[in-house]
Amino acid sequence: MPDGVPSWEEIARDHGRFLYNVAYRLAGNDSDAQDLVQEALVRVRRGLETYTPGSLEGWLARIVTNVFLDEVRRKRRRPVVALPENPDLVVPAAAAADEASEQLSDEIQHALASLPDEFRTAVVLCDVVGLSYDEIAEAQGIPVGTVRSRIHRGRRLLRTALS
Amino acid sequence: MTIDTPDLPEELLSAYLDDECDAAERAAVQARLAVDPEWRAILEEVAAARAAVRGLPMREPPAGFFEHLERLERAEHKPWSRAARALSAVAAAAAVVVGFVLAAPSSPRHDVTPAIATLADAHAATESLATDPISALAPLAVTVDSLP
Repeated sequence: MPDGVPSWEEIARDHGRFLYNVAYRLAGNDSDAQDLVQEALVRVRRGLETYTPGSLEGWLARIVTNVFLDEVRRKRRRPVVALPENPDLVVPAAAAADEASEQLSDEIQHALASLPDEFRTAVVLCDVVGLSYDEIAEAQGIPVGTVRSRIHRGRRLLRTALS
Repeated sequence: MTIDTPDLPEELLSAYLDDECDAAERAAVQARLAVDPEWRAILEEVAAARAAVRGLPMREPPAGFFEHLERLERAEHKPWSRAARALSAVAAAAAVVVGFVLAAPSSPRHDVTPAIATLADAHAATESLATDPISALAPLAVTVDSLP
């Protein structure tokens, strides 16, 4: 491996928690977060061959975000059929995610999960990952003005959902 | 004080909070905030939402999650594993070739045309003339040759 380029094992060991946290904030539950991280690490393995040292966590955040957005697009193409309204079959939206979190965090996470995907992605990249607007624009391939708008509208919706 | 920036987009408030405005935008936002209580209320709202998300705790993966992924990764990328997979592929290809060779006929094919009509006629005549009760109920069998 060239100088400055971490190995796959180093990334999994040293940045796995970061990757998981971003995946969880995007996906809204542990099961999907695990799938996102697993797929992201597959892409990390491939991407390491061409990776040039820089902001490693920014790079990882872009990868996991792309995995998330790919999954969103895939689900939109093949929408999930809703379960019948049988109370025994209805699973609470984030039941698996709630176990270890405190109530306030859960409420914020639920509010975050209720945002449209584009808004949530922009907010997570800004407020969880800490990317600049330029970096978010580059990561998502959208104009900076769109990033600005999505972050602001996302935050306003979040505030409404929390109140 | 007059609002001198009535067309200022509201989303500048988040950019203002994130220090993503240029100097002119910052000055314009500050001027608007100074005179517009609605803008101040919105600023408070987005600031609260921003603080809420930024204050979320780190979400921990389940115990053993990355160890599990590392084991999968090691199994997938071990050199011997790659060699074993290559060998398996070669062995499978060889097995297919051998299978074809063994299945192929070793000598030229000989077509056989049995004299079915003759055999059937002989059988029908014999059975119909037999003394068993079933055959006795039937008239003399029609020979194959006599069929249209």
